[in-house]
Amino acid sequence: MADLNVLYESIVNGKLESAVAITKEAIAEGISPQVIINDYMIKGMEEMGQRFQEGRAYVPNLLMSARAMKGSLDLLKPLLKGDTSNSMGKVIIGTVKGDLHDIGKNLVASMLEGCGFEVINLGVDVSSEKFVEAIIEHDANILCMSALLTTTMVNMKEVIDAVEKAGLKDKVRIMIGGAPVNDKFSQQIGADGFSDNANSAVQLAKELMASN
Amino acid sequence: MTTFQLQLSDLEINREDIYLNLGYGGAEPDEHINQLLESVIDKAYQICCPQVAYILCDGKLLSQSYIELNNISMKIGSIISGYLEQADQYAVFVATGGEEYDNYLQGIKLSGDIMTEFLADAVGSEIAEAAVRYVNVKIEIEALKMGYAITKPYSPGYCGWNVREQTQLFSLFPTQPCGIRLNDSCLMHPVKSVSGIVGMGSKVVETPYGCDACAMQTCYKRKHLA
Ligand code: B12
Repeated sequence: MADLNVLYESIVNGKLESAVAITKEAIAEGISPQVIINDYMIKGMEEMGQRFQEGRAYVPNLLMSARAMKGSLDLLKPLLKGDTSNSMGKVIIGTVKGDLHDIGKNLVASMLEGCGFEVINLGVDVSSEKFVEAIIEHDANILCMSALLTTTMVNMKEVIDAVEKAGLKDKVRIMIGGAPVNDKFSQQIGADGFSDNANSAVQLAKELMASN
Repeated sequence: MTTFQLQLSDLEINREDIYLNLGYGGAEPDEHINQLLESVIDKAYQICCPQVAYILCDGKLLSQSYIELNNISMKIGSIISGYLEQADQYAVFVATGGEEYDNYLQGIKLSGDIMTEFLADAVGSEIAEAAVRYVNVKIEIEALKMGYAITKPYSPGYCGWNVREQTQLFSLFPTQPCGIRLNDSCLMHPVKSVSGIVGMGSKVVETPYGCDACAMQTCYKRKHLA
């Protein structure tokens, strides 16, 4: 029998191979994907997030866990066809126009994906039009924007204005982040939340989904 | 312009700084992550071709916030003006990890391996910072010949010096020094690049960076520089 506690441990310790192996076993034994995901995998990611928050784990550990989580999720997803209850929500993420800073945004994208969100990563130097088009095309729940410079973070406001103009402001929650951004700025431009690390970004996304 | 085309072995790559870039604070990566990191560093030694350049400029502070170098004026802000007050001469510099490393980073990004991407990004930042340390040693040697000491380096985008002013700083150099280009938002290509100014003079003192002068309360480098 597949020992799902080992799956939990594999997620916590970021062991992709063993996470995938046990997931395959569990699937073969007919264990419900919902049970595998909710009772073991998500629990593993939550434990990791907690350790990070307490300074007992670091960003690379989070990434290893997210990678193991994604490996298992990819096996389980085809079995969830038609059942959307296991998608945490759809996220559009990108770095705003004029800005090329990638790494922080990609960390956030990767963590969201590892925690069960569906993530569409638009890359860097993304215009307002592109953000709006992507929200419509993918019927997204959350828009995430990143900026590295004080000179480019102002473009976040432009995107929010464009989202408002397209009549999408009530439909999509907006999260922002990046070195020069803070809570005050987030409120000023009418975003729904800010976070300064990839772990709390996931928590914020979950909260925003719950309040939607 | 004095240019140095380097190999990574010419620079001093500091593991502790890389751990800091990876968010470890004072801690160190576990064995598995360290192995991955070391393989990225090995790769960097094979492919990376850093470059640095500097020019010496006559200049004067025009007011509390402006400086004029070779007839080009820049608004460096009152904090940096303060640090440069005693300077008799200036050096402006650029330092880059180079196009090759940037291409390597782009390749990893496309492969979708976020772990390696994060490690390689942090290594790239340390390479750029090591290149800055290298060029500053060269500038200090020039200064010593003139009987001068040097200040710390200061960069556009810090302490009230707007990053847009990088356009003026670059206009002091021939086009694309060390292959570095500026985009419309004044960001440099290759990404792992730094520009800045150093003051030289018989009365200058090297003031350590004051984290107090910076508004970024959550910066992961804060306590380590103070
Ligand atoms: C490493 C670094 C560099 C490196 C590499 C830069 C690069 N682009 O790769 C080097 C040394 C080369 C460099 C150069 C420069 N830098 Co620099 N750099 C930094 C530093 C120390 C860390 C940035 C980083 O990579 N962090 C690691 C990543 C993982 O963190 P992050 O991007 O912040 O993302 C996290 C959170 O912000 C959040 N997040 C990010 N996006 C999002 C999105 C959402 C939706 C959410 C919820 C959360 C979220 O979660 C992420 C993961 O935890 C910052 C200061 C700082 N402490 O942040 C300055 C900083 C970004 N640099 C700055 C500047 C000015 C420069 C230069 C212009 C200086 C110069 N004149 O040479 C150049 C520009 C380089 C270029 N290409 O043009 C300034 C920018 C400020 C401004 N005025 O706008 C900063 C803020 C430093 C400062 N002055 O305080 N830099």
